[in-house]
Amino acid sequence: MENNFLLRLYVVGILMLIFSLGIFYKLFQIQFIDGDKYRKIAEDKTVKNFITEPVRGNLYSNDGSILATSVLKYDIFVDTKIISDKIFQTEVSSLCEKISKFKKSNSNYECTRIKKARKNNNRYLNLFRNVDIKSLGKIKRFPILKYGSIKGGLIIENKISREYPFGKIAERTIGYERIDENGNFRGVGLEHAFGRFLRGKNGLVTKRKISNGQWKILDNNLNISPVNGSNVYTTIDIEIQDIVHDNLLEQTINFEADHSSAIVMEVSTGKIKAISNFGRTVEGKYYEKLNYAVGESIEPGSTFKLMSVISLFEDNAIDTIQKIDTKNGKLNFYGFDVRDSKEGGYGEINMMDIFRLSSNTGIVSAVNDFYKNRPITFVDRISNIGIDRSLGIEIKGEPKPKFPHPDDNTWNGLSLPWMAYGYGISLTPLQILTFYNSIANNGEMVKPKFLERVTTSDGHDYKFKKEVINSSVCSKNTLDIVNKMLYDVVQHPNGTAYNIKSKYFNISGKTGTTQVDYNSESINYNSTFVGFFPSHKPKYSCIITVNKPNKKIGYYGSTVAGPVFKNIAEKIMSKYPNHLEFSVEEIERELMDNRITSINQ
Amino acid sequence: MFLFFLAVIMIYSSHSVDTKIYKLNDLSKKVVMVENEFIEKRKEIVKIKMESNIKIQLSDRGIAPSLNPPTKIVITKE
Repeated sequence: MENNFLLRLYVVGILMLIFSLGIFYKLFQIQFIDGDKYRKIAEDKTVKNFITEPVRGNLYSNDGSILATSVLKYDIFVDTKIISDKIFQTEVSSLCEKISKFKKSNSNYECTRIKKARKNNNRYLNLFRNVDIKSLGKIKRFPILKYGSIKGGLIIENKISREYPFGKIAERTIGYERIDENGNFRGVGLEHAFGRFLRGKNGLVTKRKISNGQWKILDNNLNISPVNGSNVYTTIDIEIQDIVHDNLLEQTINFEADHSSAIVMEVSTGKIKAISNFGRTVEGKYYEKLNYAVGESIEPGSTFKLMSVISLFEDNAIDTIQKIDTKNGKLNFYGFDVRDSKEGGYGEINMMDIFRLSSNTGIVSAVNDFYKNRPITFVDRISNIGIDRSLGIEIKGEPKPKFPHPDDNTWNGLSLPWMAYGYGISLTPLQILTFYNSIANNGEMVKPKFLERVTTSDGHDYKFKKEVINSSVCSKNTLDIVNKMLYDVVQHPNGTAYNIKSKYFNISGKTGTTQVDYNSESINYNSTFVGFFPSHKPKYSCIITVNKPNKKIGYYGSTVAGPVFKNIAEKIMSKYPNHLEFSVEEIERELMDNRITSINQ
Repeated sequence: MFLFFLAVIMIYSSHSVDTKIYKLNDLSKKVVMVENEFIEKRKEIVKIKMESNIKIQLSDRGIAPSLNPPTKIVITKE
C-alpha cells in the first residue's frame, strides 16, 4: 500500500519534472532561440513609425482674407448600447427633438432610428457628418450626449477638410487639389497651380504605445519633423472680386446667356484683381462651371481690330486722315460676305471713324488691300507683338492662341480678310485682355500675375516681381493714335459704346459682337467689351465676355457686355477719392474775403 | 535598498512623463480647436463684410453703395 503510494508519488513527481522541464525549455526557446523574433513582434506592436502630415498652407487674397484654408470637421456617432436604461428612457425624446431641429428633419424619424439602433445593439450610429466646431459645441450639450463618451455613448471623430470661405465667389479660380489613386496631384485653379507651395512635406515620427491607447514619441535620430505648407498670397482683391461676381451674374441671368466671364487686371503690374466665370446648368441656374476666362479660346471678332489697326499704322499703310471706302457695307470674298452692322455701310471714312464705328468692311478693305500680296508681314507683326504665344500662366488649361500662317496647308484667300476682323483665329479672354492692357500700360505687355508673395512656415517671405512679355508692342506714335481711337469708342457720341460713358471718369475700350456657330443654321453671338479706365491714367483693364445671350433680349457687345464693364469700373473707381488741391495762400485769401464780407454786412 | 529606491524614482519619473504626454495631447487638441474656432469666426467676418451682403442687408432701408467717389482735399504749402 505504502509502496503503491510512493510509486504514484514518483510518477507524479517525474511528470511534474518533465512538465517543468518543458516549461523551462519553452522559456529558454522564447527567450534565447526565438528571442529576436518575438522581441521584434512585440516592438512592432508597441513601437510604430507614424507619417505626420503637414498642415496645408492657406490661400489668401491680397489683403489677407482667407480664400482657402484647412479646418477640422467632425463626424458624430453614438454608442446606443452603453447608455443606461434610465437615461435613455427619460431623455431620448428630447434628444430626437434637438437632432431634428438641428438637421431640419423629422423628429419621429430620428427617434425610430435611434430606438432601432439600440434594439440592434448598434454601437456606432451616425448622428451628424461634417459639422464645424461651433455646431460641435452645441451638439455636446444635447440630452444624453452631454454625459460624454462613457455614460452618453458620444463618439467624436475629426478629419481635416479644406474650406473656402467665399463659397461660390471665384470658386473655379480658387479651385481645389486632390490626390488620385496613383498618388498624383490633380486639381484646378490657384489651389492646384500653387500646390507646390501649399502642400508642405510629410514628417516621420517613431512612437511607443503607452497606457490609455496613447502614443509617446521616442527620442531617436530617425524622427523628421513635417514641414507645413507655405501661405500663398494671391493678387485677387476680394472687394473687386465681389463687385465683378455680382454684376456679371446679374447680367448673365438677365440675358439668359450660356456662359460668361470677366477679368480685372491692374494695368502697370498685370496683377489679376478679379476673375469670374458663370456657366448655365440644365435647370437654367448659373455657377462657376469652368474657368472660361483662362481656358476657353474664342474668336475675338471686333476686339481684334485693334491689332489690325496697330499693324497698319506700324507699316505706314495708312494715316489718320486717309479715307477708306466701306463698300456700301458689304464685301465678298470667294462667295463669302463681310458685312457691316449698318445696312449700306458708312461711305468713305477715315480709320479713326472705322474703329469708332467698328466697320467690318472698312478694316477688312484696309488690311486686305495692303497685305494681300504680303500676308507674311501681317502675321509676323502679330508674332513680334507676342500675342500668338501662350502666356504661360500658373493656372492649368490655357490653350495656345490659334493664328493661320501663309505656310499652312489650310491658308486660303479668306484667311487674311477674316483675320483682319477677328475671325479664323482664337484667343482666350485673358490673352485678349493682356494685349489691351499693354496699350493702357504705355506699350509694355506684362504677363498676368496671380501670385503676390509666399510666406514659408519658417517665416521667410518671397515676393514675386512682374514679368514683361514685350517692353514695347508698338511705336509711341501708333500708341497715341490707338489710345485716341479706344477713347472715342466710348466718349464720342458716334462710338459703338457711347451708351456706357461714365459721368465720373473716362473709359477707353472696344466692343465685340462675334458670331458663333456661323456654320450652322442658328447663329448666336459672343458679346465682348474690353478696355481700361480711367483713360488718362489707366489703373485697371477689364474684359467682359457673354456667350450666347438670348438674341431676343440683346446681343451687341455694347448692350450686353458694355454695361457690366461700366458698372464694375464705376464701383471700383468710387473707392478712389478725387483730389482737390488748395494752397495755404488760397485758403487764407478765401477766409479773408469771407471775413470782409461778414464785416460789411 | 538603494536599488529599490532607484527603481521607485524611475517608475515615478516614467509615470510623470506619461502624465505630461496626456496633458500635452489634450492641450494640442484644444489648440487645434481654438485655431479652428478662429478660422470659423474669420470666415463669418469675411462673409458679413462683403459689399454684396451689406447691400442686401441695407436695401430695405433704401441705402445703396454710392457711385460718387469721395473727394479728398489736399492743402499744399505753395
